Amino acid sequence: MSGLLIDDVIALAKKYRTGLAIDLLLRRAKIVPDKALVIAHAVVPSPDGDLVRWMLYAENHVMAVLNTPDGAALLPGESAQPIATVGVRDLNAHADLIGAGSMEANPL
Amino acid sequence: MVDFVNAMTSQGLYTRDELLPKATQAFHADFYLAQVNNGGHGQFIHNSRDNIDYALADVQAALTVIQAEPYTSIGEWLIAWCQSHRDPVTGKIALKTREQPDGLDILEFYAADKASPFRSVLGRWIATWPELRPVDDADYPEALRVAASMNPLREARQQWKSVTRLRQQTTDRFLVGVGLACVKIERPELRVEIGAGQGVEINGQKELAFHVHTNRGLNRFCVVKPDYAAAYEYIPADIPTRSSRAPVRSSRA
Repeated sequence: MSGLLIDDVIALAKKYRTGLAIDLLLRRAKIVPDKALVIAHAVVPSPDGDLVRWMLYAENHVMAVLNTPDGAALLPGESAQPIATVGVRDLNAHADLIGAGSMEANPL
Repeated sequence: MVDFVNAMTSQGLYTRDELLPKATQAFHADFYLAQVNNGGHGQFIHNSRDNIDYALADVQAALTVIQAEPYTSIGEWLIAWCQSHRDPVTGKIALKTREQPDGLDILEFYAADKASPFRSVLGRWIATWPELRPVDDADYPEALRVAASMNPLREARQQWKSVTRLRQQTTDRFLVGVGLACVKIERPELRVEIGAGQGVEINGQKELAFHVHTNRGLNRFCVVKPDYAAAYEYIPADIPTRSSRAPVRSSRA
């Protein structure tokens, strides 16, 4: 856990598009993402790009998300098989869909 | 009309520009009435926040069509007052909290509302709209649900909102810091809810700490500073202790 830095986590979340990835992972796992809580857990340095481990709390279950430059995987527990995965292409497609629904400037 | 606009924007995820302009005008006219009755024109300006320009434009449009005195005159006065009290750089209206715009006898507004209720004036205007489709009160919730579900962009907008919320959780320094601090407790805890902040003495220093409720049903005090985040045990004030709060664990950044 040493070396875990808040700013590093944020920089990696932006770089890996973690919010986008988790939304897609949950949808693929048929879990409603609306009330999901996401908490950074650990950063594992790697020459291929750091791995970020996130903890996820949704529908009364604690799950894990492993996030790398190549995509993300949703795991129900510590060592279980992923119940959903997304790659960079999936994220690009999801980003296009999300962009169509952007409500960035939305005054009433 | 307030229920309609609220349902279309919150459930239907329609934007302002996609709704009938008269609907948002009536909505803001009603909002204006509620705010003025509750705390005067100053409260209307403050509670409109960044939406004040749209709210003012809507109120002005509604009052111009309604042409009901003294409301229309008061509305014109308010628009003029706001224009003349804008900060030349930011464009924001210069009005302190709880301060009221000067030069208006608010009692005139209240007396008029008593003699000829503004909401009734609004209602008579709305009743003239050819777009209006009467629905029985019992059928209204279902009619709103159907209208909300007809937005072809609703699904994409719901997903955009979801991603925006998740993105905030993963990139907001305060949220990430609180989450990390709780996760580093000996038996990791997940922050479920973040409450109000308060000044708390920690290790002899006054800190702004936030109440955090975790998934283990515990309450913590969390502090996020430029160089670290920390979670502390929450000890209610009525329990005597030598050291009021002991750090549980902290994550450093």
